Amino acid sequence: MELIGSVVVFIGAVFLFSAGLGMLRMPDAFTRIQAGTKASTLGNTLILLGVAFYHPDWSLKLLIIAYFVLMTNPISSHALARAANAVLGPAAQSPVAHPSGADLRKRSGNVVRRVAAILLVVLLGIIFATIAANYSERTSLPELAAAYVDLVPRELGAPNIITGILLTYRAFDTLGEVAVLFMVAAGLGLLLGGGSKGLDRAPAWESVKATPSTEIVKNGAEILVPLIAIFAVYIVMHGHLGPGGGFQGGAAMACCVLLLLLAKSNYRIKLAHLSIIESLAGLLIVLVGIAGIILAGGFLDSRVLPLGEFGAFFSAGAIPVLSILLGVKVGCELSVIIERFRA
Amino acid sequence: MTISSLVLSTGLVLVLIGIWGILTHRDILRVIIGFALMGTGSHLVIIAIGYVGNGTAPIIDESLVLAEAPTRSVDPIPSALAVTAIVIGFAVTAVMLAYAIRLYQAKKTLSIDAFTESKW
Repeated sequence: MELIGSVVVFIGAVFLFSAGLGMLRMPDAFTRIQAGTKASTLGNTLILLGVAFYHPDWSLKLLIIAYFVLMTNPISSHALARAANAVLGPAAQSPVAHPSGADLRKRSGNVVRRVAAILLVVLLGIIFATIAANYSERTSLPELAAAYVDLVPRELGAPNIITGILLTYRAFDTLGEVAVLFMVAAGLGLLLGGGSKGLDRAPAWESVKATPSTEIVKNGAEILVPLIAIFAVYIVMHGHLGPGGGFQGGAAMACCVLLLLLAKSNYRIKLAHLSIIESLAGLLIVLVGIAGIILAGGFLDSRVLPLGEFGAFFSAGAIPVLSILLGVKVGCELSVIIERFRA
Repeated sequence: MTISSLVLSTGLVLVLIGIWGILTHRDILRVIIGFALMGTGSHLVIIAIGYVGNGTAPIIDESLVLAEAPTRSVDPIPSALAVTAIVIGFAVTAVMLAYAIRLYQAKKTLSIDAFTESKW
């Protein structure tokens, strides 16, 4: 059984390799899209099939993953090909999209710079090789990690130790991280938004008339958006019990928004609404944090709510609440970033 | 060859490929791809150094019971760090792409050779 699984995974890996090779060797955008999508769809599906031979009890989950791969890969490649068609023109007359190797070498010209680059990479390679050669795998946890592994289930009642660290012991860092994302969303508004006097505001892809999406993308989005949304909510809600959490679920939610934008070219995100929701979520996170100072051990201590039964859905104090707020906030911020790039 | 040293070497090679791409390519988008490769490589390195032999994900469930957790789980701290690194990497890439768009608007090209006057 395991032998069959290994062989199937190996065949999948060969297909993924050929996808990478195709990306490198194919002459223009369209053939590269085709190489990347076809080979990687088949390769991924084969690898999932191989894993199913290893763990037959995972079959249902693997089937769902395969379904997502089979749905999303064609849709994304279709959207990519349409974009390429809009910018570069039809496949028949499209020139080679990037300068060939000889052309690049001629232009980079400066031999000294090239030698310096080679020298730097070789020296770094030697340093890295010594690191890799002297590396030996750990056989036991370091002291701090052992403390976390012991403390998170016992003090916080959260089965997922990483979430416990992220949302209680190092929650202040997580708050800073969300602040970085917020600053990026705001900074992109400054960089890409209006008020660019003296600069031509129309890049090449804006002069192309926006064409409505095709049936494939529209229907695909209609099927996928609800499923991805449910999946995102599941990831956020089970952050304290299994793999997942606010950041991951927020990113999945932003994928939903991206798919909607692809499918409906005149769909406009209401930035004002998003920023209100996002600010509210941020405010609530800080309020939960302050509640931690008053009711528990300190700022953002999740023990303001009862810990409940270990491993139950309503458990682990305020960690699920923080996770949901974080998911909402990250989802809004990423959606704003996506919208900024479209404008 | 243990699993984690394989992952560590892959990560270090990815970092090298990224640096090579940053140093040799003239197209700003390719430089950004180089930075992204470097980031991905460093995530792999972070995860690899947190691996404990025969360990599993630090999540208490049926495959890792509470009593076994201190001996059988991998180091959770690098995993938490990797989440942070991915988010910050995303933010940095977004800002770099925004600058690339602005530079393209200014010069109608993405080649670094067109931006020589702003060099140090």
